[in-house]
Amino acid sequence: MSDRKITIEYNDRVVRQFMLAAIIWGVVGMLVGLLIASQLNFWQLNFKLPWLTFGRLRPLHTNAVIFAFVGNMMFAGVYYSTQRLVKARLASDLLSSIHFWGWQAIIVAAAVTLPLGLTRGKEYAELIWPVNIAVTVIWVVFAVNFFWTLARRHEPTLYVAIWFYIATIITVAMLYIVNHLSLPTSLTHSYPVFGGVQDALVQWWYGHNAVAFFLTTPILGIMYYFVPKAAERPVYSYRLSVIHFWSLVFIYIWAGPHHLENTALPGWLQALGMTFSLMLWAPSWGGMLNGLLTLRGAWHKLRTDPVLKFFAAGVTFYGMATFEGPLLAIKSVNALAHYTDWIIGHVHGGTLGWNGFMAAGMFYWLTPRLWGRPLHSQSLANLHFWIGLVGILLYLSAMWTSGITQGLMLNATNDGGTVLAYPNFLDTLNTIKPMMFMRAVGGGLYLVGFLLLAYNVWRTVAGAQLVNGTVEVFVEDAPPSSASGLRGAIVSPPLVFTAFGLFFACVWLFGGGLLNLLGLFATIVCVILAIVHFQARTKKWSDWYDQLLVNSALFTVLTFLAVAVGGLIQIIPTVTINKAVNVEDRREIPWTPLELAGRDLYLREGCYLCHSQMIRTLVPDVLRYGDYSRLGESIYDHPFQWGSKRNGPDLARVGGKYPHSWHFDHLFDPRSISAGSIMPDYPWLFTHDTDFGALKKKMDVMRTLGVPYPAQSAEEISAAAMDQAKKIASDLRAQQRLVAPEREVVALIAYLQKLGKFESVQTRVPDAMP
Amino acid sequence: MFQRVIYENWQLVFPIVAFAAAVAFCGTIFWGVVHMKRPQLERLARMPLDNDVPIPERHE
Repeated sequence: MSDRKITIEYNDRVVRQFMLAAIIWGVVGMLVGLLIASQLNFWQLNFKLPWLTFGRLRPLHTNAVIFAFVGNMMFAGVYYSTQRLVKARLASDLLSSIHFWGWQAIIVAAAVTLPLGLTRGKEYAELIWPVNIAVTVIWVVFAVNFFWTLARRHEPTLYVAIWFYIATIITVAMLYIVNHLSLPTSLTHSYPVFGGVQDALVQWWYGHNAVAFFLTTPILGIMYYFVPKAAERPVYSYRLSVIHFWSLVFIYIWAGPHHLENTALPGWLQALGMTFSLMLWAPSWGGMLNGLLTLRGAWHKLRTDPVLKFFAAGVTFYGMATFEGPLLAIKSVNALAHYTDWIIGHVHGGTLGWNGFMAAGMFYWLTPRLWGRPLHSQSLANLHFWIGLVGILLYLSAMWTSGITQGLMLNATNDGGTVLAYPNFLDTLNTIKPMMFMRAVGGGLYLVGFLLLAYNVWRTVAGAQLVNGTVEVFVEDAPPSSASGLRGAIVSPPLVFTAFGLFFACVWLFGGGLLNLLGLFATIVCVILAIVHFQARTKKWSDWYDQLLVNSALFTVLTFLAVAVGGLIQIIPTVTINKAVNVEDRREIPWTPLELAGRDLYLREGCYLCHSQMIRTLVPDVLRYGDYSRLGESIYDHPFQWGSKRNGPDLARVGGKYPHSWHFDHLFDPRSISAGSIMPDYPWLFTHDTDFGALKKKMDVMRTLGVPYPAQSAEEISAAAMDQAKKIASDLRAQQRLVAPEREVVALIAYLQKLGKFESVQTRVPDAMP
Repeated sequence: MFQRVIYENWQLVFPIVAFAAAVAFCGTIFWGVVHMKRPQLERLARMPLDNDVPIPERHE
């Protein structure tokens, strides 16, 4: 092995850019969060502007804090640590630049389109399809830049942080592409390919794993680099980090259905989601313990070092959130917590505590090193920590109290479980208002702390000299590669014996007669041969494993297999079985043209963010909202509207419950119907016209997606829509509510009045069971 | 919701293969981890501490 001394100058310019962008967008995202939290107590805070309603701003908040704040922070941490761990400058300055500016352009696009109501109507996947393409392109740029850097590395061994980054890049790509598969109806609108229960499953396969692979795994990689750096201690257990990584990336993917417990999702999927969520506790805490125990011998530094304070608290909040998550995934706990503020508390324990505090620690650690100047004020950084911590604790305790209160009140029954104890939804809402206010106070404190960070960093960097890490390293020549690289790694004893063993096991399990016997015999022989080979050639088995540490291509392939399996197992059966043609009992009646237009208004205004459309298989839900929702009743909904939060009541069976005039008044001024309601006014629905011209394309796309619409001309569609609109307007006129039939409110009323209508489906005579 | 559970035999293969593969996969990884050599582990654990860059001193 030769020792050559070379000088490497890292590309820290892009690190600085991402870090500063993260701070700026963090302030923006948290400000929007504070605004929408305040709107839940003071609905007037939209100032009667459509762009500032809760329904339009909440997606802006979530996208800003996830993709803009954590995204930029993640890229800064990944690029800083990767260069130093692999002892190579980033492969391409051009790609780095495209990555940075492209990502910021996407964020600006989101900030413009979301308040305008341009949305796909899916949580954390709201951005319209042209922006989706941009995200995919920039992600590919990131991936190429990253893997190219790995290919040019001078350090052959891949540290565990690099593994987490690889998993992030591969899995986010997989999740994003599948959940954003859509057919456009215009430049700014599309319908997702999946509908109903399929969309529900795919959405939360994506949604939960966006948490996993965008908010967790890259930050874990950052933890495995920056915590040892800050503590000046090696990671506590490298063995534990390996097990932590593989078990985490495999198990996490399956947890998505825990967002759909007690709904119309098939029971086997709910069970899978629940059990894998519970199993996830172990690897998550493995990572937490590894992070915290890395601080052993350095605990005394916490007293004075704000960086270590943030890291220790951040990892602790990670542990807390990853205990709370599995707890909430238990079906009986979920029956109380789902749709309540407890979920919001859980989310923000993770985002404010884990993501936010890890970001702060990383920023405070990086700033002096990237700008060659000591941090402006350690005291201010310490103050940030304490204010932020108090803010988080206020936020969480408010949301826990609120959520459990909601769950208990909304589920409370009297008379042997036959009558609701609090039949009026507003009773619960009024009870939790003080807690919602406290949440805004807690969030405000957290923002104040973050503003202190922004000020501290600004005072440090203003006028400072930019520093690019420049170090001399002794580089090792790459170890002799295995006989045939990737091929040699795949055709290796562990993989070959595993593949044959699985094949013969399947023959044994599914073969009939003689095949059954042969399969059993072959499986046993395979296992015996594997054991014998292992004992005779132990080195070949361990050499194969060692290759994982240096062969990034093999590692990437195995990581992809690990994360793909869970999705395939859950999604393929759902897509093949749970189709409209197989539905029994009840099936959705396709929306008329006017109702489809109204539905798109419902999505535009973000109504689904406060109103669910899924009556769960729980007595209190059925008592309050009507018969539980069947899977077939939403089978044509592209996107699905089961919802994930109830700031207002469920709407699954609101159709026909109230006259048109009720909806008319409610949309114009909710408090005229429900005193104390926090729903905003929607006066612009009464002055803007429905876009009938867009309906032809929309219905053509729906037909392509399998909704049984007849082929109709644009004129026929517009005429049908206008006929229905005139009927509704005429009914309203009879009730002294005057509105032109082409107004948007008429379309929305048409949609709302259809909710809960279905057609009965004959049960098929079962075929003879095989 | 479905009133009957519709079984399609060929779909049964998915969970069985997945769990079997997971057990084999995790078992292999666990075996490899347990047999990692101590010097290698210590070197890997210390990788972030290479190239330590001193924090700029505050000059009064």
